[in-house]
Amino acid sequence: MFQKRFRADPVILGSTFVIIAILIVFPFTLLFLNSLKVDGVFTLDNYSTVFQARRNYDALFNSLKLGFFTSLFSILLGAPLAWLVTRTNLPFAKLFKTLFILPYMIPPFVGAIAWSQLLNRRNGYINSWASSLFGLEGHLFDVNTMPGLIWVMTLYLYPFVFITVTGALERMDPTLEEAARTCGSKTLKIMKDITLPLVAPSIAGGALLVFASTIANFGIPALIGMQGRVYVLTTMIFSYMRSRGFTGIAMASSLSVMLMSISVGALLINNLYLKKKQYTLISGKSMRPTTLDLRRWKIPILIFALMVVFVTVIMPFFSITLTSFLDAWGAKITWDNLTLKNYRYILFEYALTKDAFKNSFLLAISAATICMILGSLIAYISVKTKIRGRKALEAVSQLPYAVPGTVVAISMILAWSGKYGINLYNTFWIILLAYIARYVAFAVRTTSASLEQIHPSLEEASRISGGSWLTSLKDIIIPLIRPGLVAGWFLIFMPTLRELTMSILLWGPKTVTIGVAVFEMQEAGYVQISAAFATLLLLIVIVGNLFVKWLTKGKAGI
Amino acid sequence: MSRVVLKNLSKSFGEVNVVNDIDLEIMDHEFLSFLGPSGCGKTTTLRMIAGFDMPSAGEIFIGDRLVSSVEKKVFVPPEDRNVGMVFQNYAVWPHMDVFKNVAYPLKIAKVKATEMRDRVMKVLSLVKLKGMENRYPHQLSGGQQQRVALARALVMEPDVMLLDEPLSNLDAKLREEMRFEIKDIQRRIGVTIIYVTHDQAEAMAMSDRILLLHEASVQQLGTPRELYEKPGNQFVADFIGLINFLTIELTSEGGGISAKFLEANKSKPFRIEFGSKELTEKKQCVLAVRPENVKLVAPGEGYATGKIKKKVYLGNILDYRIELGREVIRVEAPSTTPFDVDQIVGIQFADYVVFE
Repeated sequence: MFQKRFRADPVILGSTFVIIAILIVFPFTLLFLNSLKVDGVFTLDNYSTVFQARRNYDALFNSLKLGFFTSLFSILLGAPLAWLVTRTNLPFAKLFKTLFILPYMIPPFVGAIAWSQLLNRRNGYINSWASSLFGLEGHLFDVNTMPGLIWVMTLYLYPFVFITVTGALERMDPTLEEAARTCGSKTLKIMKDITLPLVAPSIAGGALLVFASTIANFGIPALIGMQGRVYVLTTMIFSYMRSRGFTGIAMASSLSVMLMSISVGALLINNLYLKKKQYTLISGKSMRPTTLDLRRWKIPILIFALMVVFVTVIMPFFSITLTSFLDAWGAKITWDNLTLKNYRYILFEYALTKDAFKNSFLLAISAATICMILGSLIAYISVKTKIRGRKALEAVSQLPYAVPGTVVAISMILAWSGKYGINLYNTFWIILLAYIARYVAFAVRTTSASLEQIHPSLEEASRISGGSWLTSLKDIIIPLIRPGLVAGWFLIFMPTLRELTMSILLWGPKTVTIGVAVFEMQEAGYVQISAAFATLLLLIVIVGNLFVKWLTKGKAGI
Repeated sequence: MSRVVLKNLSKSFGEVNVVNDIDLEIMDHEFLSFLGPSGCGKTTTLRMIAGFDMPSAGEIFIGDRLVSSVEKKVFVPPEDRNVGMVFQNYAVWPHMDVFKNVAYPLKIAKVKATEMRDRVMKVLSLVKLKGMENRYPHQLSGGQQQRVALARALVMEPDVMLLDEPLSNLDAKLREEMRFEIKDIQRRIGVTIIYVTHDQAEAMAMSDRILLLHEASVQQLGTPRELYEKPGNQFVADFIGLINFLTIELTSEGGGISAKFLEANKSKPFRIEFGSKELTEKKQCVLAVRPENVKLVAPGEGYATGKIKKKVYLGNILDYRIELGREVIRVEAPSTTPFDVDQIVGIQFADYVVFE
């Protein structure tokens, strides 16, 4: 009956379920079970052991503290900026809207490298400049502290709040505010009575995203926090794996489950509670809302906006580029101290670079391609068929992106280290599996958005004309969603090319990636070399994003 | 309650004129509609009265107060104009319940709590929402949300109420019901209403007068009857109701004017009212006649002869298409009319208008 009605190829669709089970369900179940097991017996001992160590307790507390303050400051920075670009006559508002999103594009660990160059207490550019200017003894700032972490984290994650609030303000029906005006309300009163209550759920939603991303972030706490002995959950897991190798995995698993619960909890609150409160504010007519005239505040606010761009984008970019041309790190910046030797070294002399580029490109291309194929099948099953379990399939495919990358990596190690017959530890394949598991969510989301646009009658017309399910897929569906597929491919290719969080736990002697290479150089103190590497990476990211924008006519990319 | 006066009101965006030199006086207690196809400038005119759009030229008075003048650099912001406005998409605030929505203007005006409650309850019973004070907008139907919007505009006892296509999001049956209710409320409290719509039936049913706009300019101002029976130009005639246009030729004859159909066969010249002008030469014009004003008579009688191409029985009437040479006209005749398809008939007019 099923076959007659749908004729969808049961082999192809069935194997999708199997692949997702092996790729995602199996490793995550192992992670969960492993955290509850000691010598094959189920127990909660692992969790109590975890908290017997003071440093684990501190790491958890630091994660929560970092998440809370980063969310708070992201609201304080992101929400007013969103209001400025959508509701006032701030000059160049459109340009600022793009500029305020830029930090989102910079890989967080590159931002962390920039800020440790700017603010480290020995020879950070700003500290040296300040002490020569004011004749200070010692240092003005120390980035390797909790406040330093909060500062850098906020600068790279506030765009989440900015984007959600800008979106809500733009979608909000301007007549809601106009109606208040005809009732006799002044602009500031309207903001308080109408605008703010209506966007409050979006502000909270953006802040929860910031919280979840902060908790999950590895690059910033690893490059900035570990030097100052400020550990969070992700870096604590990393240090267990690094110092104890495979034996650290029990502890790492328990911490991973905890990390996962916190970030999934934050996302669940967002999806179950806040999304419902985000009123449908969309209007039929597209009218420009009346904007507030900033009058004499216009110039001071413009200067503030420029400062934000300067601090979040220009200063770090300049710092990294400058460092990459330095001969001796920490010495005075003079013409004699500038050189191209760092680039010569990484491009032509250092074997690791070639490996890193080769591995990362190969991984990113394979992961993007496989994710798109697998993701399209999942999206097709979920949107276009009535197969039982299709919604569960889609939900499971989203899980690895909702949990921190560190957790995904630990699950992969548990599943594919030979205990269950297959040993991929330290190979290219385990990294690829981790990338696919984590990023298939992107593929599902972009493809199902395109598929939902296609009316079922288009496929039915092809079937009536005599095309089989596979022919219809090939001739009708795929050509129609091709732009979505291409955009989705690049949306996976770009972040996997510079991936650090999972790679750092999974790489082996022969499988170094770009992210790992930059990280290891920075950790080893080859500051100029890692800066040169990071500059190249930023160039690739910028060119890649411009390319995606051009390719999708501005619909994807930043 | 006040009158509203527009003097030489214009609005342009760059090179494009959206409202072109409107002069209008809306009387106290009047129900006046701005009617026209989309893009005619009706909504922009309304938004200029509300204060959401700044005129490019001209003046607006509400009551005796000058609220907007480009020349005198006067501009009173919307919140200080004391106008009530009802929006097409209701604009009911989703985070406030019905009571809070309606009480909002009074809260802004710092009205005392007891008086506020009285006034809100009174206006809620006027719009038939009594007992729903504590509901939230998402618990209301579209029609009920529209009543909330109406109540919110009424409660502030505005000088004038502006309604911007308030019924266009409702389904047909509810729309008709609300027409009468709005009209009824207006009669009972006597508020001045300016009503924007693109639906001629709506405008005809509710308005004391209609301002018909097209391509940014006033086409005609008048009562619904005037617009239907004495359309000022071809656009008005065509926009309101059904009408036939026929090409005629006028000549001076025996102290009067006589007309002849140019396209029809066997057209007999007939006397026509055309001002009192003498014509020095022949003149080509357009005769506009509504389908119900065409009479079918025996061939040979009437002004011209035509052939019946189509006949549709619609119960109360017969709907004919009659070929007059190269032109086809539509005729609505009593259902007892004996003529059938392919028959030749004579044509006569009960009423008509001639456009130069």
